[in-house]
Amino acid sequence: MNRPHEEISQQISLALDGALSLEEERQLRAHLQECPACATLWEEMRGVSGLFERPPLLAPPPLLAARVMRRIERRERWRAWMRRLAVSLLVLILLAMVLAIPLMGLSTLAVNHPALSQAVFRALVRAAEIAQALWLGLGILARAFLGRGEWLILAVWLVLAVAAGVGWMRLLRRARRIVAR
Amino acid sequence: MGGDQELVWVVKAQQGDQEAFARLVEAYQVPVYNLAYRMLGVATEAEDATQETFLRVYTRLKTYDPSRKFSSWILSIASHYCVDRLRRRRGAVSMEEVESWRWMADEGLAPEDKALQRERDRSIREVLATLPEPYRLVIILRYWHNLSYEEIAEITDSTESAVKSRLHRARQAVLEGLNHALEGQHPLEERKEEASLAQRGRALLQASLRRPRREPL
Repeated sequence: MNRPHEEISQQISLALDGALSLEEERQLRAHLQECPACATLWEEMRGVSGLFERPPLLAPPPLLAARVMRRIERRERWRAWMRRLAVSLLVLILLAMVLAIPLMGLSTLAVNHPALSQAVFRALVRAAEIAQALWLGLGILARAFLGRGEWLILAVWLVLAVAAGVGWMRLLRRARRIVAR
Repeated sequence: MGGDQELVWVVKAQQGDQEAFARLVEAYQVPVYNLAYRMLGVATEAEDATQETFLRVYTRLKTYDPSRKFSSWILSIASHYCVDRLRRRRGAVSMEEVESWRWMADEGLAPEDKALQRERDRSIREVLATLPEPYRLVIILRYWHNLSYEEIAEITDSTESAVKSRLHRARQAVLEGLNHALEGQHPLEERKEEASLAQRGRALLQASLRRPRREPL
């Protein structure tokens, strides 16, 4: 038997894909009736194509989509933390720079004018003394009103601690919500 | 899936809506998973490849151009990933049998034909494994995803005429492989796989001629 014609072989493939025009299809059919080699190839190629027609489909594992989403969530959380870390570092560096400049200026000022720095120091000591006096005054007032100063101080500390705790929890919850988003 | 609804999900996902992205994953996991399975030939590797594909889709979502078909874009990412993975692969992989419940329902198939389904899957896997990657990819995109020459060209970064001739050469390669195996040019002991393929080669071709026509994925 002769070998099939190469150009017909290509046409056969196009016919299998439904990519021939009506006229081309008619010509192909006419040729297949005349040429046994090409007719055999047509049958064989149809067989090859049929091997893949309506191919069996495999169902993905049940949790595949969920696993993909979990990986994405983890990735996003990690990126959010990295972003926050970067921002914090930036803020710290900026703060250090902003603080460093006036401090450097102050230190030269203090070295050049010892009297000035002494005055500033004395002012700071005075301020501390005033604060201490105010604190003591508050204690005396409290004792005058309640008789037992220790309880009042304890209560103030408790309120402050609870407020700080609530604030911290709120901050955490907010952070978690941002991460979840 | 409706194109409009899909576009809504894509846009939402681009804005960082993870729920919208989850819907896209749900919608595309079957085509992506089956592409990976047919390219790689191993179900466990296909799962990993599917996860990696969707991670890539997620990170590149901002670069998606809505004038392109979303399915083509996803399949193109999956194809590239599988080809890369095959290149990195060292040594032969062992074929594993897939449990029968994993096959998706086929209306044309009676429950008792599940064994036939498995047998057919094995033949297909053996045939695909002998094909060079570019041929394997066009066969998968043409038959499993029922894509046009134009779409296949877009996914594989080539031209329509290149796809036409590649599909043609792929079919020729399959036929040659089956005939070659049939001629029994290899001793049974050395090439067990080919010998088993040879025994089934003709029967496969005959059987495939009787099978009903396909429906899109």
